[in-house]
Amino acid sequence: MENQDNQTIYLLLIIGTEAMLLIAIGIILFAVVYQKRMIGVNEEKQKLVLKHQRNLNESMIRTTEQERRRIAADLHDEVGHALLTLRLQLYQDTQPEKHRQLIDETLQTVRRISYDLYPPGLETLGLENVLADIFDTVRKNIHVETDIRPFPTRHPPETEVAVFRITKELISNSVRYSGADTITFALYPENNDLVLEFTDNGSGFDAENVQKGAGLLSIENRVQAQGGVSEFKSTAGNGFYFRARIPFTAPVTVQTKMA
Amino acid sequence: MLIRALFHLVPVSVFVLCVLAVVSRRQMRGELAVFFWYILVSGVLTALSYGLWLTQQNNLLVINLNSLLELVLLTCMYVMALEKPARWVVLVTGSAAFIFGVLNLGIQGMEQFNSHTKAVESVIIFIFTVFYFRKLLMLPDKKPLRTIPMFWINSGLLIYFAAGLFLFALGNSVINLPNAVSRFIWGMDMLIAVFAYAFIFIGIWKTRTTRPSTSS
Repeated sequence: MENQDNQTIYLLLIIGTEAMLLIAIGIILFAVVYQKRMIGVNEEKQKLVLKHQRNLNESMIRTTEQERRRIAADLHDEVGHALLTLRLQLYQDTQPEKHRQLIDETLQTVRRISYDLYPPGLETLGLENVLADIFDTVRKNIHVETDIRPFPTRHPPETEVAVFRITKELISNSVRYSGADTITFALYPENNDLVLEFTDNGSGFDAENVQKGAGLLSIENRVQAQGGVSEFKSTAGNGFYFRARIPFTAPVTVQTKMA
Repeated sequence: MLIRALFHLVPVSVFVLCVLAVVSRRQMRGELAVFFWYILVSGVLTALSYGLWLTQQNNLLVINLNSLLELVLLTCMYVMALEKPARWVVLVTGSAAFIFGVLNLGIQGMEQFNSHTKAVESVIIFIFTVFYFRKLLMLPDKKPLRTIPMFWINSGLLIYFAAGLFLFALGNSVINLPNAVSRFIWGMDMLIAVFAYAFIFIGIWKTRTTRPSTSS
């Protein structure tokens, strides 16, 4: 009987010790494997952030270059060509009425280029009025619904320019590429933030699988530069939705001290 | 023969750890400073216990005293190593276990193996080590665990106290087992202890090759 009790204790000890040893080793291995996995996930996240940052930088450079090319083309093809024609006609001096018409057209072209670079009304009339003007122009071609609400104070100039360019880019994408016939636009204050919402009923695209184009990256870049966040949703055939939230305060300007 | 060798190997391992801890003293800061004292106290009491065992005298009083000091020092170490609220849990449970251990000296007797104290100590140190692993995994600075000295020390303590739990709890019953069986079981405990000391050795060694701030 005593021998049997001894055997039971003996077995209990062996099994218990082995089991606890296995549990201890299991805990250690779990910690090592779990941490290794976490390091892997963090590295992957950092890689994605870097990649995204690189894409944004590339898109910014690409957008700037595109803008320069467009201005150069406008100046060369429209202003340059008009001035050349005007010079030829002045030499011949046959049709003064045509000279006047050509000068007017050239002036309009120069105004358009200047407006695209920085709309003069933005500073004097304010963002809301300039955007209303833009949508009035767009309304001539497609159906537009706007909800632009007043803000308690003016936005910082850089925010106004950013929102202006974002809106122009969104309109341009919808009109040029998506074939939309309806656009809705909203700009309103919410909890000290400026919220911009834009939708169209165009062809859309598969946002999950399609890489963002230069236009969308440029928009994202402008929102981020203002310390804001943005999101967009789109599926093929179901239009496009964009929302940005930009802090109402001006971004901090870093000043470099000169030694 | 192997078991007999293990009985001598454990004091030698503790002695080696003591020497390494002494030469690494400067690098052992914060909770590792408390661990330094734990190694030193363990070294002295193991030497004393080993001496008594060699001269065939009862060394259980020294072993019981070692358990209580071990409990105090390891509780202090985890109090320093952990953050709230785990720190409070460690402090309260460690203090309660110490009071129980002191009372148990009277209950089980000073010259009997205090199996209850050792079993309680094993359970709570096991929990402390799990708390510490949790802390390590939550650290924002994701350094590989193998580079952190406390990871190795914590692993060593986990192995020792988890694997020894049943042995400590049934320690007094082992004494009644036939001599060969009893020796085999204690030998197994010694083997686990040497295995755990190897982890602790690596941990202390890492303090010499890693910057002090990484220990916590």
